[in-house]
Amino acid sequence: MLTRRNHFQANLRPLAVWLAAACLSVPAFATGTTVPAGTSINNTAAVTYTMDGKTHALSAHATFVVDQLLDVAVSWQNGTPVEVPAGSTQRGLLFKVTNTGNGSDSYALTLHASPDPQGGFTADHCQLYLDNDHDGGLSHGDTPYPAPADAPALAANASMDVLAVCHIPADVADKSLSDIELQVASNMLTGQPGDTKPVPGHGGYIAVVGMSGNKAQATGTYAAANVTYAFTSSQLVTDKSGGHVATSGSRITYTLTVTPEGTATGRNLVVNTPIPDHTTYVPGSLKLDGNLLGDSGTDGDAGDYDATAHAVIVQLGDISGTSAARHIRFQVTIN
Amino acid sequence: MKLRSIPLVLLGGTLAMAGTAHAQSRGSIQLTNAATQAKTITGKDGVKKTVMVPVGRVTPGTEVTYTITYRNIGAKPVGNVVVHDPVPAHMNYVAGSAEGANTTIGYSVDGGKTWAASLDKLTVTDADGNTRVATAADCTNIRWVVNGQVAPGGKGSVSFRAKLQ
Repeated sequence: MLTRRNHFQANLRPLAVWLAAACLSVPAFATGTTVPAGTSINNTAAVTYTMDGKTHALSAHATFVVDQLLDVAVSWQNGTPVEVPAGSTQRGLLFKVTNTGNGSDSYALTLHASPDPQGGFTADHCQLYLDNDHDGGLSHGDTPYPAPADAPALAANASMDVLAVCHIPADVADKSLSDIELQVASNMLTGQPGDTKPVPGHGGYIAVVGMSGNKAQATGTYAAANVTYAFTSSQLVTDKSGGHVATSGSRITYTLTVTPEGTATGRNLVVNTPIPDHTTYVPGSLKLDGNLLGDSGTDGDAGDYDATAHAVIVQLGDISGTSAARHIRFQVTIN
Repeated sequence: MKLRSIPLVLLGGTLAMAGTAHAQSRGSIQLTNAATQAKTITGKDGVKKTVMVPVGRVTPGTEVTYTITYRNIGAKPVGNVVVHDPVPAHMNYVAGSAEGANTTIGYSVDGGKTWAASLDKLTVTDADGNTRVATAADCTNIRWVVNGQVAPGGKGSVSFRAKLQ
């Protein structure tokens, strides 16, 4: 048995990330029924009575103006660790920031990357983006989250989708984890519940810090998901007399085995195997996992024999690290 | 606490005092409506206690107590005294909070068209056409029918609590 090197092409974009992005349903706004800050609440009590046979009526009012409650909440939206390949760039974790108060506010956002306590790696080059198209991933239309002075105002009960976008170091181990904490703090006022300040431009009411302290944090997690392919080749020589002598006219049966390992999925895996010099491909001998494949490049199946390049080409497609080994078999004759 | 003056035509020369309360009188009855809220204060001895103060800091979820006081400031007794108060917009009546000594309390969930002695004797119809028993949040109006007559100088007060939505 011999082991040979073969040409190997794989695009290692993990499928899992894209599937997760496609399945997320992200409502742009939460619904809330809290009374907006500044609303005047009026109560009119009335009394009726009779005196000397006549009915009388009068009323009395009580009025106050609703103050601004300052509260904020943030949650990580992916739910399960987002699988990322080692060495990949601009991988997104999706967070949702919700103004749970009853008036407009804006927020300063900061990111902190750290290895997961269970053992892991630290994602780097982290940046924040607004997920403007609400697709859960970084897209062309998404914009960097601005500095506090330019942070977008978030109306009462409104939410914004924020992406933490990081690079994944090249040397991370499969299944290792990295935590990203998103910290949210009001630009208006943070502090102890009950702290107050006047609302600029609104002399009629004050802002009151709610139970959140008007700050919040949530942690999202990346899971390194790598895939490698062990690749072996064996050959069996059969001569015309039924023996195993490699001589002119002998037939060689090659068996190539591709064994995936890891948790990611390689996309569009192509096995390109030039046949040895001084041999001739046996037409109709190509099999994938025991199934015969046509030699033509236009027959629509996964395998071809490229007569110009003298190479067997098999399109294996997307191969998950947890899927079964694939077996490619073909024959040549020695010239 | 602020001092507010009420137009003389209504008050007949008297002044009403309350943080947000307005008073009116015409003929024999004077009516005041005061909105207060609970506030926790810490005394010099370090003991915390809750006191009622005029509304000053109200955010969603805050409970406000409305206290309506009637007083016979005339020389003759008055009868058939009924205090009526719609639950303010953006507020929900707090279950069981309506009080009024010497009164019969009634509730309405339809803006005062029909009344019952308790909310669970009323029904509401939701947007889908389904009918269910009313709850505190459905209450739109409360009334207090004062038992008997109110003598000159006599007074009474009724109250309820409502929570800001």
